[in-house]
Amino acid sequence: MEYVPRQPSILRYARARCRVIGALMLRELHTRFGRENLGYVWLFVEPAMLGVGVAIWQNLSKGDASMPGGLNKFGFFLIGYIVFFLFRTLVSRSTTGVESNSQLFYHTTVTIEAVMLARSLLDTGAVMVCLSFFLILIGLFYGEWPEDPLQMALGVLFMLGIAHGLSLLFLAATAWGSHLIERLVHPFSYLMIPFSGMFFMVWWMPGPYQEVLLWIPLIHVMEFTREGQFGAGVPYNYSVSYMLVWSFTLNFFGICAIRAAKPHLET
Amino acid sequence: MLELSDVTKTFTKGGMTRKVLNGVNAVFMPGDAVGILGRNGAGKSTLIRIMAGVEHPTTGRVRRQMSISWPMGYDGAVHNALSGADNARFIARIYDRPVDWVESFVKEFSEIDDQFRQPVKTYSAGMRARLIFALSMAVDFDCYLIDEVIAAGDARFAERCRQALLARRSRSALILVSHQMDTVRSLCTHAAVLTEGRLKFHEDLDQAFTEYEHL
Repeated sequence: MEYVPRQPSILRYARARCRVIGALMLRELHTRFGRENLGYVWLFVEPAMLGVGVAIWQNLSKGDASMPGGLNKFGFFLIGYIVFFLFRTLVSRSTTGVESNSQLFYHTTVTIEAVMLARSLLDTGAVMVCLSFFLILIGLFYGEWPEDPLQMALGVLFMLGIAHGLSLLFLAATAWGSHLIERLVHPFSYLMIPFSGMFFMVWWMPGPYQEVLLWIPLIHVMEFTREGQFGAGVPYNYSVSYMLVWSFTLNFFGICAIRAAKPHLET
Repeated sequence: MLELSDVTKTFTKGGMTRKVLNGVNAVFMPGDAVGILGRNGAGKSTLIRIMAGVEHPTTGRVRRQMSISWPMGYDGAVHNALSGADNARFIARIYDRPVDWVESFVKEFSEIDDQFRQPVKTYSAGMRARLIFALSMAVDFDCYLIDEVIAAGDARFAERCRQALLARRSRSALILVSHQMDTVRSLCTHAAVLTEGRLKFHEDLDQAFTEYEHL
């Protein structure tokens, strides 16, 4: 119920929404990563530790730097980890979306949808920066640069779409019992690790398993993003329309669920 | 204009249903200065939160044709983990006001000097109230909703708030909820009494006070 001084227009409305989401992103930035910007370091520490782990493994296997199909081991796992990290962050933080901003709902322009979108966009931006950083390192060390950076960025956006829709659904579900949902969300985000394609490619698997795995949208995102890095040479299994359908469906039901749950969430 | 038509609000907690507002009708125009008197638990805060749009009525309608402030009280409107300065910048952004100007205005008006760059959670109740009040003055609303915040500051700041509000009375509406008659007398031209979920208006302040005292 926002006050509009002159004749309302879609353009002005859109600009007002963007302003609010921008302000919320900055506010999230300040509390999450701290004013001194030291919080950003943590974003890089986890993948860096993974990188060290892979390096030790590579050393033990006598310098063999490749996965089946000749894919670079570092590239393979870092992409898997960082892209899944976006999913895990959005889903596991979803249940605190309202609580951590409750004071701000005193401003009628600050809506639950805006808060959630601002958080998701901020995390996506952070993940893209982090991914670029490690891909540049791989490029410098191995001379292997991404074949199609745009496709990789699109892959991250597909992950944003799926995880954001899911986070809206989880947040809406807290209206019916926040403690229960909070307890369920964390195991869910961990249980998805083996089914996310973080550790494997679909073509490594026997035929019948492939079919089952390809029901999971996260697998498509992983294959799509890895193709952006490694290019042709190994088979990739994904369908862009399948990822789009999942993103739109989850977001559609997510927004509906938030609307239904709103009276129970805000107070 | 701010118009409430047949507003009701019921709360259900633990199977118990309580009707807090039971058919409130009211119209507020720019330049009005209305004090709403009510005993503790009469539903004053609920009413002002519905006016602001923070809460929604169970039934009935709220029409807003002027910019309306958030309900100014002890809590809400500011983020505890952010500093006063960051809150000022945030509010400037969401209400589309010049960011640097709002920050310096709020710093000066609220008289929070050393702690302005510290998180709001380190502030005292009085400092919080000063910050919230200064923020709302910086945004410049057509209608101010005040939930007894004036009483939170020290006497000197309360007087500054009063002057700032009186200075705006010609162009902004003011709606104040209170259980103190003195606060209403010092700021308002009309008064209404909230009792049993209904709002009863009085043209004359003394008439309202008499009714309020007999509750």
